[in-house]
Order: sequence, then structure tokens, then C-alpha cells
Amino acid sequence: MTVGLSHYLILGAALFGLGALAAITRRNAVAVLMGVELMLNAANLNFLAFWRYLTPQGMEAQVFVIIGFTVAAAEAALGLAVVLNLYRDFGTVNVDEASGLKG
Amino acid sequence: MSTLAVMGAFLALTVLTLFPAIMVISTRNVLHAGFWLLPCLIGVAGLYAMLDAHFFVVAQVLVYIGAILVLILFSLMLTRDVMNPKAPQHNGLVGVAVPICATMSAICALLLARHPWPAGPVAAAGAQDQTVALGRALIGTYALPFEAASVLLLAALVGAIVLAKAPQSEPPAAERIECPGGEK
Amino acid sequence: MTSAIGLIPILPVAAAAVAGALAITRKAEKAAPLFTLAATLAACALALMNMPGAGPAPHVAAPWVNLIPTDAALAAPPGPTHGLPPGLSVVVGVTLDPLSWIMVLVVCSVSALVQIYSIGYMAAEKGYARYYCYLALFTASMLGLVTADNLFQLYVGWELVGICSYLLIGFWWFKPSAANAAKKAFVVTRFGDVGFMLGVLLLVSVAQSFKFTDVFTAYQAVADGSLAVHGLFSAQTFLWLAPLLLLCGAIGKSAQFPLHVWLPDAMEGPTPVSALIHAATMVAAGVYMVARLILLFTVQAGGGAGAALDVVMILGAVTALIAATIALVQVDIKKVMAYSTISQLGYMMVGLGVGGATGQVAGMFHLVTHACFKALLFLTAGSVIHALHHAKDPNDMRGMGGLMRRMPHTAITCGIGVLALAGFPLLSGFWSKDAILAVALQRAGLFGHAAGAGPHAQVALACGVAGLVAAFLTAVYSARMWLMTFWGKPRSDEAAHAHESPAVMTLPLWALAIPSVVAGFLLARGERFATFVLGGEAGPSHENLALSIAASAIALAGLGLGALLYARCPAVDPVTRLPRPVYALFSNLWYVDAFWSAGVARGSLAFGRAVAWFDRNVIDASMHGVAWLVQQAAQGMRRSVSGQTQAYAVVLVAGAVAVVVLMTLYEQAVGSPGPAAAAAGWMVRR
Repeated sequence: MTVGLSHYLILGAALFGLGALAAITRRNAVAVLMGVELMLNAANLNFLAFWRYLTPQGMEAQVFVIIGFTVAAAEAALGLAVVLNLYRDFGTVNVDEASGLKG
Repeated sequence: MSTLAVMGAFLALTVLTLFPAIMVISTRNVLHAGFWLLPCLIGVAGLYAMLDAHFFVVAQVLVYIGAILVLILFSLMLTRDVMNPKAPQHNGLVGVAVPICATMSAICALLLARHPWPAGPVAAAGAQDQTVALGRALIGTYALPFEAASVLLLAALVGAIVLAKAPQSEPPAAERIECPGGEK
Repeated sequence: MTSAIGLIPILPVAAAAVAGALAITRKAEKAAPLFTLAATLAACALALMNMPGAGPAPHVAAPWVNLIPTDAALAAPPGPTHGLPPGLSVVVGVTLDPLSWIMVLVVCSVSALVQIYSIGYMAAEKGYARYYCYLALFTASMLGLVTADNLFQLYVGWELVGICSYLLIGFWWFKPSAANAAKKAFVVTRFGDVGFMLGVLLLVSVAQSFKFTDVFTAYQAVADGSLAVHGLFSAQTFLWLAPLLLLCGAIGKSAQFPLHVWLPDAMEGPTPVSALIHAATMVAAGVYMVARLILLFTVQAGGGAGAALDVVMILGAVTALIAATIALVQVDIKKVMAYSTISQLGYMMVGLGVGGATGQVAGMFHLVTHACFKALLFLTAGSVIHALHHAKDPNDMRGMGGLMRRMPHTAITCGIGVLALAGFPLLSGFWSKDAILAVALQRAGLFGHAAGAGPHAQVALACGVAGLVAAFLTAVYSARMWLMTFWGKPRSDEAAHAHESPAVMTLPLWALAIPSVVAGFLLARGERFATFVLGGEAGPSHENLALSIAASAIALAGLGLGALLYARCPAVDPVTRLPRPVYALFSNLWYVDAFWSAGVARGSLAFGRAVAWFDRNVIDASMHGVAWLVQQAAQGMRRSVSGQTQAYAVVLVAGAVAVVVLMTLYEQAVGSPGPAAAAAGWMVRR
């Protein structure tokens, strides 16, 4: 039994579901960011799996992954800043306590 | 490499990815969760290697583990002490979110597994050629998206600086809790 | 000069406008009667100058409204005309045929005398100019009504006099009783007016015209079977329904049983108003209308005897009897006269009920004489009330007595009016009542026989006998009223120190007393009145010596009985010695008012309360229910907008999952690859 495209895709789906679960259920804002990182990783994994199995000569998938990395980095940096501001304004980093729409 | 070995490596990397991911979700201690992210990302890097995406293996290690994960750990450490470890670390949506996310994963997996994908890779490519080709693509065909991504990154950095700066123009309010990070 | 008759109703309108302006500006209010009186007299003079002769009646008219345009484009689709012919228009104008001319003279002369009288009577009142404005407006409305040659103008005038009556009854609007009486008069007559309006619409829809002559022709054609009736009713139904609906209007306006209840209450208005509107003219409008349209009541399909005439006659007789018995026990002088008026209007209806030209002449004759002596009686009553206006209840006859010496002019003129009312031989009331009784009893087969269509003989007999009984009662209560007021010794300080009214008030009394005496004789002799009404064609003579002697005997017996009972001014009113149930029946107004207030008014109130309950608890409640539902829904929705970003994320994911599930199910149901598979396939092809 060889490792096929569907194996990677199933793994990616599982990883994405776990990431979504983390993003939805964790109370800590930083943990939510971690869940988002997992989801991005799942997406990147899918991109590369598709590239490898379907379009190895093309460059689109790899460029997308590059951009995905960029987005992840930007998200992490901004996420940290937001968490710090959240902490400053609400005295907590619990997302469900910060439900007011006006700071 | 034999087929069996490849399969074994894939399964090992799957475990290396998914088990830490589960731990990231379920661990009560958020700092531990951050550290659990490390094997997970390494597992993904391993999967990239299995997909012959050598450049991205390096990028994964450098960018994700070296930069993003460190940043996340910083955030956790800066805010950790306000979190009451006795307080629940999950909100009331667990009961709803678990079945929904499970359904989503299951459906995706089901649909993708049932699709008649090609049995194996269409063609293989050399490692050097790939990286060179990617570099050419990024400054050639895909220069515009690449630059857009860099502008995004720049904007994110500037925004992060602006957001993280303590608001000095506002009057010092007694009720405001000073940022512990700012004190340091 | 003929074209000038168009000014007859217009002059009083102009005078009303002037008086109204004076009333609004409160300047020179005392000048108001000059204008209104001049206008009324001018209208009277115009009528006198244009007395209808043998030729066609003087007539001026102007088109007023084109109800159904002749425009072909509008007329083309058959829908919007509702069966009425294109070009149907309302013509407004003045027609002076004999019937109208008589009414114009009655209205103008009584109105003028009342206006003169009111100069004295209303001298001390506030709203002097307003009063004259209303009077002139009423005169104009009444003139418009009686000079109409079509149903539309008749109806407009009909409603206008109703409004003027409302305004004048409620002239002292600050008195709750007057305000209520005005409302009662308006609402009660409305009951009848609804029927009247339906009758007019029914007739117009069949006749395709408003003109009386066209309506008569069409009605006759329907009766002959040469004109079909389309719509809701069969021809037979139309033939009896249309006159009865018109009669409803007459019942309301002429205060016939059972809608007579508003007239006694209308006595809350100033007494000259009662004389003009509620004795001489407006209440006679119903009688006039029936007389004007008597052909509709007389023509019957297949020569069948007039069922509509039976109804008119029975209603009139019942009204005459009941009102006479009530008048017998009233102690308020104006109420006595009010019930007397109702009774006499019933008499007129009995006369009209004979049908044809015969009935028309009899009814109108009594209308004219009654207008003279009843206006006179009301004005004398006003004179007495004016003299006693310091008394607690100046209308109460128990506080009068002995006024003969203090107020000779009033007493004598009132005596003349009373004798005329009672039918004292050779006075006006005697002739007109005699005419009514004669035609009714002749229809019944007594004192000769009448030919042609008309009511059943038994009905005519019963109503004629009822008329005789009512004549007796009339004589009794007339005598009672006069004796209680003017005879004997004063029963109150005010009565003892009363003064005769000024000349401006007593002169109109005499002016009315003279026709009250001679009008009957002059008009009845040689059938002059009948000849005039019928346009020069001499009607059959109804004079019958035996009947005249019998009627005179009855009147004299009644007067004698009254004199016997009241001449010695008994301390206890003899009518209270009537058997208790009888007295209770009379003094409780035959329980008609009670019926209306208990049965109809309470019923309406109960119905209104039920509707209000329904409104509150069903309609409002359903509205509140909807509001509540929306509120609850909003509360529920509000909970979803919690500000919890993660909750939104759950919904987002759930939605995405749902879309995918639905797409998958769709693919399986259709059996072909759907969008999801197509997307995957696209990637594979690349």
C-alpha cells in the first residue's frame, strides 16, 4: 500500500479540524492563535500535497505556500500585539470575557 | 525506499503531527500547549520532506518554529500570570464545536478519500531545480503576489508596533491595568 | 319675471351669509334680522308674482353636476357607470308648480312672522345674529327642498333642513339637555333618512333619472310590465319597496310613530324655532314629500289595492291617536303642543293614505291650515314663556293660570289657535280635518264611495274612526291647555305679575290668528284649494253635511268636556284620575321612548361594548401578540449576537459544514457529480 494523495489530504483535514477546534474552544487568546496556526499548516500541507501529486511542474502551489507563511507570520505578530492590547484594556486574555464591542 | 518504509514514515509523521495537535487543544497549561506545538510543526516539516518540498522543510523550521512559535511563546509568557490555572481553559462551546469540527473533518476526509486520485506522483523533480524554479517564479511570474505579501508583512509589523505601544496620549487612568510587558 | 324665481332660495342664503358674518365679527348683531327678513319677504314676493296658472309651472334650472360623464372614452367600458346612463346630471333649480308654490308661501310667511316675533323674543339672548343666520339658512334649505323638481335636490334640501334643525335645537348648546336633544333629533331622523336615501337610489337606478316626472313614468312602466327591473330586486319587490323606503324618510322627518320621539325633545330649542321648524315647516317636509310622490304610493301593479297606502294610513292613524293621548297628560305647555303636532302630522298622513289626488289635496290642505294655527299656538306659548321666564320652569302649566287678564292678546290669539286646532266649526282646522275624515270614510264606503286605486276599505274605516277619536282627544287637550294657562287664578307669583309681550311679538300672533280663522273657509269653499293644487282641474267634492255635523259635534263635545273639567281650575289635574294603567301608559309616552332607549340604545351600547371587547382582546391582542413575538424573536436573536467571536466562528464552521453536506446529498440524489466533485475534477485535469 503506497502513500497516496488522499492520505495527505485526510491528514490535512484532521489537522484543520483540530486547529479549528482549538480556535473555537480555547479561552486564551494566544491559544486561539495557535489553533489558527494549525489550520494554516493544514492548508499548506494540502497545497504541497496537491503540488506534489497533481502539478509537480507548476509553481502556483508553492507560491501560495510562501504567501501562507507570510500570512502566518503577520498573523502571529499582529496577534501578539492584539493580545497585549486586549490584556491592557480588559485585564485578561480570555476571549469570551472580552465580548464588549467598544473598548 | 520501500513502500512499506514510506508508509511507516508517513504514519509516524502523522502521529507526530496529530497527537501534539490534540495536546495543544486539550492541555490545561497554555504554556505547555505552546510547547506541544513544536513537535506538531516538526511533524509537518517531515511531511513536507516526504513531499520532496525541501525548501519548505527549511522554511517551516526557520519561519514557524524559529519565528512564529517563539513569538507565541513570548506572548504566552507575557500574559501567563494573569491566567488563573484553576479557571477552565475552554469555553462553553466545546459541546457544540467538537461534533461540528469532527463532522467537518470527517466529511472532508470522506469526500477526499472517495475521489479517484492518481495512484502516485505524476512526476518527480530534483531538489535544486525546484528551489531555483521557485526563486525564478517569485521574481518573475509571481512577482506581484510576492510583493503584495511583503507589503502585507510590512503592514503587519507596523500595525503590531502601533498596537503594542502603550497609549501615551490618553490620560493615565487609574483603572487601567498597566501592561506587565511595558514595565519590563 | 319668471327667471327671477331662481332667487327664491338664493336670497335667504345670502342673508344667512350676512348674518353669519355679523355673528362672527360680533358687530351690529341687531341688524341681522333686517337682512334675513328682507330676503324672506323678497322671496315671498317673488313667489306671489309667479303664481302658477293653467300653463306650465314657472321653472328655472341650471345643470349642477354631471354624475356620469357623456365622454365616450369614459362611457365605453360598461363597468363604471353602474347601470346609470351616460350624461346623467343633477339639475338644480326652482320649480313653482301649485304644490311647491303653496309650500313656498307657507314657509316664507311663517318664517317672516317668526323672524319678526324673534326680534322681541330673542332680544336679550346672546348669539342674536347667529340665530338669524340659522333661521335664514333653514328658510333657504326648506325653499330649496320644496321647489325641487328632482329627487337629488329634494334629498339635499332634506338633509340641509335636518342640519339646520340640529343647529337650532342646540342653539343653547351650553345646556346639556339642549345639546342632547339636538343630537337625538339628528340621530333619530337619520334612521329614517337612511331608508329615504336607499329609496331615492333605488328609484334612480330604475328610472335612470332624478326628475320626478321621469321617476313617475318609470314606476308606472314597471307596474305595467313594460320596463324591466335589473339588479337585486324583482319588479314586484321594487314596486312595494321603493315607496316604503321613501316613507321611512317621512316617518323620521315628520315624526311619525315610532320615530316621533325626537320631536318633543326638540322643544329644547327656542320657542319661535319650534313654531317654524317643529310645527309649521320642517316636520311637514315628510308630508310634503309623500304628497309630492303620491303617485308612487298609489300606482300598484295589476290594479292591486295599495299596500303602501295602507301602511301610510295605519301609521298616520296610530301616530295621531297615540300622540293625542300623550298630549292629554303633559304638563309642559310646549310638550303638549309637540305631541299635538305629532298627532296632526299623523292626521295628514291619514289623508295622504287615501292616495291619488284626493289624498294629496286632503293632506296638503291640513298641512297649510295646521302651519297657520300651530305656528300661532307655539308663538303664543313662547309669549307666555317669555313672560314667565323668571320662573323655575317657565314651561310648566301648573305654574300658570289666570294669564287671561295679564296677557289679553296672547290669550285671545291662543284661544283662536286652540279652537282651530280642536276643529271648532268654521275655523280652519275644522275644514281641513273634515276633508281628511271625509276622504278616509268615503274610501271606507261611508258617506259616498270613492273610485280608483287606494287603501283597503277596512283599513280606511278603522283609520277614519281613529281620526274621529283623535279629534275628540284633540279637543279635550286643547281646552285643557288653554284653560290651565289662561283661566282661573294665577298659581305662581310669576304668573301673577306677568306682563303682556311687546307689540313686535303680539302683531305676528294676530297675523297668524286671522288665517287660522278664515283660511279653511276660504280655501275649502268651492274646492278652491283642490282646484288650485290639481292645476285648475276641479276635484270631486267631498263636502258632506252629515259628516261635518258629526265632526263638529265631536269637537264641541271634546271642548265641552275639557271646559267642564278645567273651567273651575281643580287643584288636582283630572287626567291623573284616569284609571292607573291608562294614565301610566299615557304619561310614560306609551313606552316608546323606553323601548328606544332600553331596546335600541342599550342594545347598540351592548353591541358597541362587545365590539370594543373584541377590538381590545382580539384585534389589539393579536397586534400585541405580533409585537410580543417579534420582541421574543429579537431577544433570541440578541443572544446570538453575544460579541463572542468564537461563537460566531462555530456558526461559520457549522454553516460551511451544512453547505458541504447539502451539496453531497444533492450529488447523491441526482446521481451526478456536483460542484464539489467538479472542483476536484478541475484540479485533476490540470
